[in-house]
Amino acid sequence: MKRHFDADAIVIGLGAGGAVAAHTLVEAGLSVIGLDAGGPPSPDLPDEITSYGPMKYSMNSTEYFSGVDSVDLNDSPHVYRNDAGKLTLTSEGWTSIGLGGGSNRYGAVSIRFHPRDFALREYIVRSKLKGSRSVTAELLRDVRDWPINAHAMEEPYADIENFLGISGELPKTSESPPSAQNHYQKPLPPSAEGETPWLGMKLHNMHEYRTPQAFITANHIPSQRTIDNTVTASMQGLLTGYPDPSGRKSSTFVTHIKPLLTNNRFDLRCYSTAFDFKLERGRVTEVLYRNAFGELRTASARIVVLALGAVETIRLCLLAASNSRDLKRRIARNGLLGRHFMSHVFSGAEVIDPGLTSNGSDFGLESDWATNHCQTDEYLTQHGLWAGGVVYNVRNRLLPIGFARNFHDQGIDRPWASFLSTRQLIGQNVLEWMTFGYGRVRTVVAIGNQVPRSTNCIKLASTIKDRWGLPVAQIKMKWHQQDLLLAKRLAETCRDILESGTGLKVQSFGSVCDSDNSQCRLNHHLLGGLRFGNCEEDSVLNADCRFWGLTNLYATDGSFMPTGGGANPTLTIQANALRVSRLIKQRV
Amino acid sequence: MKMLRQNSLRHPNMRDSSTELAEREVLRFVARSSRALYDGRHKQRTNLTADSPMTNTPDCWRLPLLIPKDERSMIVIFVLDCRRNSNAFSSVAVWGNFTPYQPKHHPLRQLQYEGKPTDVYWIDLELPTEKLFHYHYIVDDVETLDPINPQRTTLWGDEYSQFFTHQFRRPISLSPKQRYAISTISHAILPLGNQEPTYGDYLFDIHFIDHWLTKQEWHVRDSILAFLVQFEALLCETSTNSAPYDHWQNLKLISRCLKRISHTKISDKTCAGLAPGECIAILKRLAWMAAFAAPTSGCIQHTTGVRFLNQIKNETLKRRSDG
Repeated sequence: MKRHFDADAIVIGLGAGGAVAAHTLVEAGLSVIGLDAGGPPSPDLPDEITSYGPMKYSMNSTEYFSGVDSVDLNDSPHVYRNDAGKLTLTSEGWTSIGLGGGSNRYGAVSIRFHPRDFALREYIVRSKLKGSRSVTAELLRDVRDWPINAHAMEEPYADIENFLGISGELPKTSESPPSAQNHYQKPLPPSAEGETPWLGMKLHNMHEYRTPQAFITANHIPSQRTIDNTVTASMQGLLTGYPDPSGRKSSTFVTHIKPLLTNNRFDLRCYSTAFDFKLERGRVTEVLYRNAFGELRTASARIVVLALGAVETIRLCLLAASNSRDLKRRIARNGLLGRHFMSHVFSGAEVIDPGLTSNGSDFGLESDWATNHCQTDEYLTQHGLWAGGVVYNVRNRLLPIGFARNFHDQGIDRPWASFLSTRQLIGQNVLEWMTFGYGRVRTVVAIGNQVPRSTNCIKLASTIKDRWGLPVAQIKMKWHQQDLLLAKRLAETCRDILESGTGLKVQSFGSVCDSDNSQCRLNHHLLGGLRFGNCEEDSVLNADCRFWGLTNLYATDGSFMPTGGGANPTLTIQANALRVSRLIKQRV
Repeated sequence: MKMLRQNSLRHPNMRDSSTELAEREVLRFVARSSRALYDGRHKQRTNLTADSPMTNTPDCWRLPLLIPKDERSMIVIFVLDCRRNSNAFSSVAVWGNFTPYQPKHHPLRQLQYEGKPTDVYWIDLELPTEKLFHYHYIVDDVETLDPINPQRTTLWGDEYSQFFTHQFRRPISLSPKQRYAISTISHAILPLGNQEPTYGDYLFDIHFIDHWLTKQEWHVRDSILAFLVQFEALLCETSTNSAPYDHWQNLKLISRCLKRISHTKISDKTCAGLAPGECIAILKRLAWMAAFAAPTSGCIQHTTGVRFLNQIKNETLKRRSDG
């Protein structure tokens, strides 16, 4: 008898990867059930955190406040061992719960991965890295090339950029074909903060280009958005940290979920937390979840797409595998499930420039200028690096908004905690920083490849349980010595750019590797853990991002990456989700 | 394939119907509190007594939920979560002074979820801004205070839950020195203060701070006032002839004052048992919050940032059409 399914596909997690998959499948005529642990972000009303204030609660007699990430540490915390070896609750490893996921609040920097980022193992073999042989051997053990190359990514990149609405430029020295330039919108005029970083890049002959960002500056037909000219500069300024006050930010909620809300083929089930799936003859037939009332529900479909963000996707797989020996045999046989997890090497430099004054467009986008200088062969060879990263200036005028939204939440461990603690922005120092630093800081940052060590992994915590009594995810991460080297070199490059541009001595530069509890500073870039590849013994997913041992389970968040690229990952996650969902469409 | 939608969220985020928007907010509340029902979080609140209204609250929700509709009115959503009650109820209503001189019952309806009625009751009412309301629930003819809303008031010997809508002011009398002090401090700390001069009129408007004070939780209001007394004294001592709103001068002054306060033992008598550090925290919080608070949004966090920007947008439009 032919089995009845509730829908053609279930997409779990409707963030950057899941929303693109759901949209593509629905547009292709398939019926899709969308499950998400959160709800709509309400662009014209602040989200649930800002709506009701930081939520305060206590655990083990310690008070916690939920932070900007909409993650309630009592609901589904992640844990890691801190420097003192103690298991610590953290909101790291979450980007955001809710429709659109982290793309509602990210800075929207949408740079393509460098062509070399898809074939780093090949580069290591070819370049003969300086340093000890053991380092090279270790890298060769952990690093894998992507089963698809930059050429195969070109079409999904171009299509997703076209659909999202990206403003900016492609790198001037880019190997990418000129087709992509045609659909990049003209960026906004650069800000005052960007002037000296631009000069610095220019003086170092770094071929700077305007940072591509998921933000429209003109009417955009594919996403059916028109520009409201009455939007003030300050509204644009809330780009970072707010869902979409200006209507211009190309978050996946705006571009991919909103059009589905009136589509009968899309069944949206908000506040639904998936925790298991059922297996039948090598295929996932049912997804088990709890609904908004905490009641147990199931949904069945021909295809299941996981896109909860790497950490939660891996956790869901581990939870399901712990309940089913058959599933465990199919997806965790080679011991790679959850391994090779990574984020990014994140470095930067900043200087307080008393000469920095407003040029009338202060409240603009996250970044003005970027350079691929640290991705070039010369740079890598000169510094003995296995991989590079992108460098761009960022504007920190919105930082206080981040502070204010999290003010008083010293108890929580999250990305801001690192920023606040390294600058000791507590008490009187806040006042002084606001007085002498705020609005006068020029910042250049870099995002580089992190080595996907096999020991860096996501596993289930043995003692800490979530709200449903299920083990939470434990993040285990240790920086590789190449990470520390890359972080240092990138920080020095950021410093050099600033010093040349401003003529000032830069004292403050460094990387995430130097921060407190640096083994759990993920910068919201959750990558790897289910690496894809052409060899069943050496990867968790095949080149189509389908689990090797299962015929209908896919992953379209950042977990598929064997190496994390030297740029912000959202665009690549979206492009890959588009690629994979087109393949699914062909299959169905 | 024809699909049956399970979820009541048919058009999330589309404001074609305020009732739909309200229902969505109720479900948001339900989803969060459902989680808490499972993890027994309320039992971990060691610092709360058994009879505290917050003891059985999963998070610090501010019920009723308030959503601004336009400048004159708000959607107020009353939610009564009866999932912990073992008995089924035949009638649930809210009684309040929503209509002048004619307090009346508004029956709550059951939240429908997945096509079935649930034990969560709710109603959305459109109420005017600038008003203080008191209310209670009537569950099977028994008067019940809102178990989640911590704001209570006693009227004619009976206790009621209370809330206020945007723009409501309860006058706080500040001395000119206090006003000066507080405006200077917020001026100094406001993130937007020195950026776009067009904001100046709003940010420096003392009423806006006033608003914030009135909107703050009632129990810290007295502490703020007590702190201001101390602050004023120090300001008088330190300040000589600084011109009003001399930003940099005053900032130094304030820094000095804050430093001194943190080292000064403030007497319990004036500060209602509050530690100096807490006073400073309150004051700083006040300044931070001020950055988000717009005059018209009454500084409730719900919509502050965005409403502020909307207001600027509307005024820009108006200026354009005028000129």
